[in-house]
Amino acid sequence: MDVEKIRGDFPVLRSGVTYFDSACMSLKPTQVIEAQDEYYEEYSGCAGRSLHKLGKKTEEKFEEARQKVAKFVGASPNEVVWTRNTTEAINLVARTLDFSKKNKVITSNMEHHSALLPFLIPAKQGTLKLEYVLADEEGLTHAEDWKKKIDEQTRLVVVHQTTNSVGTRAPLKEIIKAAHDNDALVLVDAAQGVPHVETNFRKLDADFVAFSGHKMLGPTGTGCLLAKAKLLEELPTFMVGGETVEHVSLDSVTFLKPPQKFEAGLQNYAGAIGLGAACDYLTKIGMRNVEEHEKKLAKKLFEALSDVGTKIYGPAEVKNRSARAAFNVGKARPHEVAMMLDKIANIAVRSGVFCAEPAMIHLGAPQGAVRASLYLYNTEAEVDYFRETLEKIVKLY
Amino acid sequence: MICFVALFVFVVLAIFSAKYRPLAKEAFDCVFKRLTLRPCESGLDERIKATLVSSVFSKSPKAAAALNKHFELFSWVLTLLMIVSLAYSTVGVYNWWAYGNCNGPDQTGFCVFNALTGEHTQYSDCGANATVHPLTPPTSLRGEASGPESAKVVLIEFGCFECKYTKQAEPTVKQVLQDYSGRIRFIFKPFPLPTHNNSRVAEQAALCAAKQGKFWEYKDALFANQDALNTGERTVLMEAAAQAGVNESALAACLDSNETASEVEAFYQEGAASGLYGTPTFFINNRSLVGPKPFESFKTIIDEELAK
Repeated sequence: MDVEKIRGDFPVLRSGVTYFDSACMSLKPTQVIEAQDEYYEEYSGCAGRSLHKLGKKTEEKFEEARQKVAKFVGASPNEVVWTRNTTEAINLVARTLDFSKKNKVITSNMEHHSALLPFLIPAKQGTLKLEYVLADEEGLTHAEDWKKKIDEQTRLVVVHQTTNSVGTRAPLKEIIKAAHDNDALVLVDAAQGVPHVETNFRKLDADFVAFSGHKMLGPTGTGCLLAKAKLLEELPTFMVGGETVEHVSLDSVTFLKPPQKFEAGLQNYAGAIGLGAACDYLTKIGMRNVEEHEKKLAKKLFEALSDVGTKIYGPAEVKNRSARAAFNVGKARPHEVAMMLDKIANIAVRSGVFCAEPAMIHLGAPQGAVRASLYLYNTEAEVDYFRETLEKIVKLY
Repeated sequence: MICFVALFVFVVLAIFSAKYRPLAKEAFDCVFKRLTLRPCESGLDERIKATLVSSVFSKSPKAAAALNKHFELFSWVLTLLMIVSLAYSTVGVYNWWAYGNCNGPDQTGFCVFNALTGEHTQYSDCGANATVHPLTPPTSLRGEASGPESAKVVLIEFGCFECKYTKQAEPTVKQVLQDYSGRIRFIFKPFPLPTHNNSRVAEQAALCAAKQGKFWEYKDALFANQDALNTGERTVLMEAAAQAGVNESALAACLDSNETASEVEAFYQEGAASGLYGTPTFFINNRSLVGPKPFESFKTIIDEELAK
């Protein structure tokens, strides 16, 4: 994997920024930008409704993008529902799944707000029962704890593939097996997983997988819900309107087959086509190569943070983590450190509670932390530069 | 503490640019919470601190470290300086209101409020290439006069009929003459500023009107028609004459004969000899005021002169 060549594909990097905020937003390669531009400049039509050439080409490219995404994650195209992002995908499941017979939902205290709130709100309203698996002090959840919580009353298990806060990974295989043994469904929040590790929907055997395009080199406003075809058939519609229906009369509606019945209104064609190009890009590089590269970066990153003397949240062992770290510098407030990294050295990191406040409280950082999250375009030299800058900042305190 | 300074700074900036308004609101929220003994949650203080420390860091890491460690003390110092400067500004505003100069009575230093408003300025821009230098009181009492000759205080005005600042000073002059009626003598000396092309002929016309005993009425009419004066049309002078009750044919004949031209030139030379750099310029006995000063400026000097 030629990182320098890869870096040449990312126009933003030409500004000289050291971009360590990919867990929030990944940068976009020229190939993705051009795929979107091509739609706008050459065939900007409506898919599925207009019969002219532009409309047909849009339809063709839009569905081709669905196929690319499906192939990338090991799913069938009819199992891929376009959404705006992971949040919408999770809300789709939360709002449409039938909880009338079994209403228990199991999740953990390490989840992103987007995975938590769609279930916390109905739980507060009494329409479902929400139980938590608590992570250990390092932020890891253990299979035994999930198994203890999952029982015959469980309707759905909501679990992260990788936490966005500290990058820990959940024991998905065991969780999914335990859930299925109890006739429960599993929704995996893969927003931080799909972009970084090879993910195969079929092999994973989860019932639902949600992820965003913008974290995997794709355009903003793109995301997917992967769901087993049978489940999509059973689920009622989420939002309705144009595109979701086959026939409408004043007293009846016949909906399209999934996934189209969940895709209300004019879709984000340019975004979907861009996400397809992002899948092509990542496929060409190879997700295993991406993963290996990130492992090297993670090792160097954690060594740097440890040597500099920061307080690192999450497990001590790098093998249990992705190339991201949440840390604090002495008594310095996280936003201060993040701003100094930006202003002193043009290093972009995230600070705060990362939309995972319960997780950060659990890890002992209620005021938040600084998060450095790396991706395929980052280099070990950048980690060295980050380390040097951080050393200077530590001396300020 | 830095939020207190931020509030003041952002409020001032917000007056001139909308982009600072959210920051001003944020600073206000932060200050309000501090005053009600709650923590500032917006993070504005953190951002300001990080920005300042980072800026200093590029110049001197040691200074940045010191600033970072003692930032609260630094914030207090800034806040106190702000309070002191606010107090000074308040005094300045009072002086400006009371004396027409933010530095206090009888001061001629630069006053920012004058520069901001363009009013009561020490430097009337009616004068070309105006420079400030000491003025010499005129030696003669020639000119159109009113009030008792024996008055203890003589108020001399060098004015230009085409100068907007001379016109602007008119209400104040009238108020002074009314309030000090019978106690001061007022002498108006026409001063045709070279930058105003139609001023000299207007002043000649005013002196022609004086020959008919209608100077003051004609002066008011000229100021009332000041905008039209710029056209240089004689009809404007004639319309003013009609409004002031001046015999138009006599005025026209006077102008045609150019008989008051030498008088106007004499006033101009007198003003130049006094070192005038703009109009209106007032001399109250031997003390000068330049520009359309507020009533209080005249009152202060006149009262002092009367008390002598």
